[in-house]
Order: sequence, then C-alpha cells, then structure tokens
Amino acid sequence: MFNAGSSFFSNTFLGRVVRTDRRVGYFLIAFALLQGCAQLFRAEVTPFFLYGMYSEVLDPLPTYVRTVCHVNGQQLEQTDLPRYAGEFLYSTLDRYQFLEANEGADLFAPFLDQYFSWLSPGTRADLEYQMSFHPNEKPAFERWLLRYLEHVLDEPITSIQIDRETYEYKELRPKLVLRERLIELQK
Amino acid sequence: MTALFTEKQRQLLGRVIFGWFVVALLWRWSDSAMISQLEQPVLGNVYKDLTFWLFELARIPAFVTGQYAVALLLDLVVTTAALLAFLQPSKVVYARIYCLAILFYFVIFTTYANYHYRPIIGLLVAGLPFAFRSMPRFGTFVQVLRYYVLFLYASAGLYKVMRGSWLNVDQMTMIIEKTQLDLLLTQPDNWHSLFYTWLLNNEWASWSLFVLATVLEVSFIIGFFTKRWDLGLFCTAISLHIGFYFTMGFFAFELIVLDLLLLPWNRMYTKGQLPITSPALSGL
Repeated sequence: MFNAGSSFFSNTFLGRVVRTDRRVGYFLIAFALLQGCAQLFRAEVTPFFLYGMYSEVLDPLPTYVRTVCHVNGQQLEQTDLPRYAGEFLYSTLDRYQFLEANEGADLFAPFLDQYFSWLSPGTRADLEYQMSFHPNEKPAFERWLLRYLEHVLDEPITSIQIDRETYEYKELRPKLVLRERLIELQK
Repeated sequence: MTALFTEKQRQLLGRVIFGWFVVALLWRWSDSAMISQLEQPVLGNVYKDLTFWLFELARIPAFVTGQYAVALLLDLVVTTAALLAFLQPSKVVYARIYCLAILFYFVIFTTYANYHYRPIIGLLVAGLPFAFRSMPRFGTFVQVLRYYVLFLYASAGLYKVMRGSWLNVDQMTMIIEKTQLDLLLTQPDNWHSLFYTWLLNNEWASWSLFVLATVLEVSFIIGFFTKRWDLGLFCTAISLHIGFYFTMGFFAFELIVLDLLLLPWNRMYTKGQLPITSPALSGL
C-alpha cells in the first residue's frame, strides 16, 4: 500500500520535480503544505492566497453605510477621481468611519486572543497597540487628508467635510436614514 | 519526454508578462497610486495577514512612506526593473529586483489602502519564473504558476459550495446592495445602475448568475488532471472577469496577467527551434 502511494506521488508533477530538482521540489511541497494550513485555519499569509470572492453567506442587512466627502463645498464621488486614487481614498475613509463607529476598537484584540493566546497578555497588548490606529492620531490623519486631496485634485483646498450616511433599501431603492458629521476641516 | 520552453518562447512570455506589469504600473503612476504619491499616509490596516504584521512590526511601511526620497526610490526601482525586464527578458537580474521591489510595494500600498485588494498579487507572483536562469527551473515555475491559477479559481468556487452561499437565493442581491450603494445613489440612470436595479428586481436572474459563476470556478479542477482544456479554462477565466465587471463593478486587471499562463506558450515558434527539455518534467 505504501509502495502504491509512493508510486502515485512519483508520477505527479510534484513527485517528478522532487526526483529531478530536489531543492525546488521540497520548496514546493513546503509551499503547498503552508497554503493548505493557511486554507484550513483561514489565515491570510501573503502570498498564500485565499480568494473567496463573496463566498461567505450574506444575509439581508437592515441598513448600509457609506462615507461621503465634500471638498470646497462640493460633493466628491469616488468616480470623480482616477480609479486607484478613488479606491484608495474611499477605502481609507470607510475604515476611518468604521473605527469611529467602534470608538477606535480594531479587529486585532479578538484575533490575537483567539490565535495567539500562547503569547503573554503584555506581548499581545503591545502587538495590538502597534498595529492599531489611536484617537490621538486623528489630527495627523486630517492633515494627511488635506495633503492627499490637494495632490490628487491638483487645486488648493479650503474645506473638507466627511459624513457617514446610513441607508436602508425601500422598494429596492436606497433611502437616507441618518447623516453624521465625522470630520470638519477649515483651512 | 515533453518539450518545455525554448529561449525564444521564454522571451515572448517575458515580454508579455512584464509588458503587462509596465502598463499596470504606469496606470498606477497616472492614478497617484505609487508610494511616493500617497503623501505620507497615517491610517493603515495590516488585517489578519501575518506577512503584513512582520512588515508593520519592523516598521517598514512607516519608514518608506515617511521619507519621500525612499518612497520615490522604491517606485522608480519597481518601474525601471519591470521596464528593463520587458526590454531584456533573458536578464534574470531585472526580474529578481522587480520581484523583491514589488513585494515591498504590494505590502506597503495594500496596508495604507486599508483594503486587502487581493488581485494585486498577480503583479507579485507572475514575474517569479523569470527570476531563474535555468530553463528547466523556469519551466517548472511556469507550471507551478499554472497550478496556482487553477487553485485560485477552483478554491473560490469550492468555498462557495462548502459555505453554502451558492444556495443562498439572496446572495447576489446582497452583494449588489452592499457594494453598489454609491452608484445607485449618485448615478441612478446610468446603464450599470439600471442593470443592477434589474438584477435586484429579478432575484432569480441574479442568483442564476451567482450559481453560474460558482460552476465555472469549480470547473478549473479539470486543469489539475489534464492540460487539454487550458484554452477553454483561459476563456472561462476571462468570461468570469467580464461577468464580475458587469455584476459587481469589479475589474481585476492585475489578476488577469496570471490567466495568461493558461495559454500554450510552449507551442509557439516551434518551427526550426530546438526546445530545451528536461527529463525531470516529462509529461507536463
């Protein structure tokens, strides 16, 4: 039985590589094992790639949130900017509003507690602190927002407002439920 | 014994892959998405990705973005290396520099983009085979990447099957409601918005598209057993990308470069050329 398994393996792509280029073969086996482990524990370790593409079951949500940016009194949509700049700006603003809604609490503490409980509480707290965003960094974030928007729009900016808008779908159309101001900047 | 690649085929593939990288990087330059154009960002997200943690704990992202000269140097190195590898695909040194520099770009940009934009990984891994001078080793890594592409799509389909999302009739409409809120609000009369609204109104149609995508993704398993259907799988991959654009507004230019590895590059220029063969990889 062992011989059958060994013969099967030696006829596979990996088996042939191990037979003829041992170093590369073992490297590939290690890579495949690590990818398998990452898959099993659903851990993301670049370049071990998890490409779920909306594979988690999505249930209807009562409300949806979007972030809205006004520059010099004009609403700035993501589509008003070049593709990557728009994605970069709005994903950053979305995360800012997420942190603001959760009073700065990030994802790291529960993740560290779940998978890194073998580390001492002090080490876990240090790790969490270094990887998180802190409320005292808000002024630096606002200064960056001004710099980045001036760079991307290539014009002087005198005011920026960032709002969180909450919507619900009524008859398949989004309807505004709530608007909250997150950032108000005047130059 | 089966032929692998000739030097000429390697050069052709190298030109296509690195040409793709050059276009992707120039697009990023023109969209202000290179590290030196990010204006020293302060809010980042390392997600649950342990490689990103390592970079963060070594304070690499903050160091590179904090010094304009360092950020600009990284951007210039990654772009120049891609350009030189495109012009001289047989010189492995450019490919090696590119692979190392793009890893730094990938982790730093994705950290500060606050969005784990996975398709960018195409720019990271597609250049790897060209970092090897030995032709058999180059051939091995091209085959490895082919398996990697098959794995990407097949695992995306299997995840949907195992998690049961393909049986969730609401799945596609939930994706649209979640991801297309901005478009539905700001451009309700745009053709894409009208299409999304039609999909929201016709749940059976949107669910059927989701099931179709799942079936197409799972079909990549075939490639693990035979190469006979590679051209069909390439067309399937491109169809999926077109479908993702129409149904989710998502276009992964950086990932499509990996799909190119499903094309039969080692059958091009075969007239009068002696292919470099490797008994190691017979039967590939």
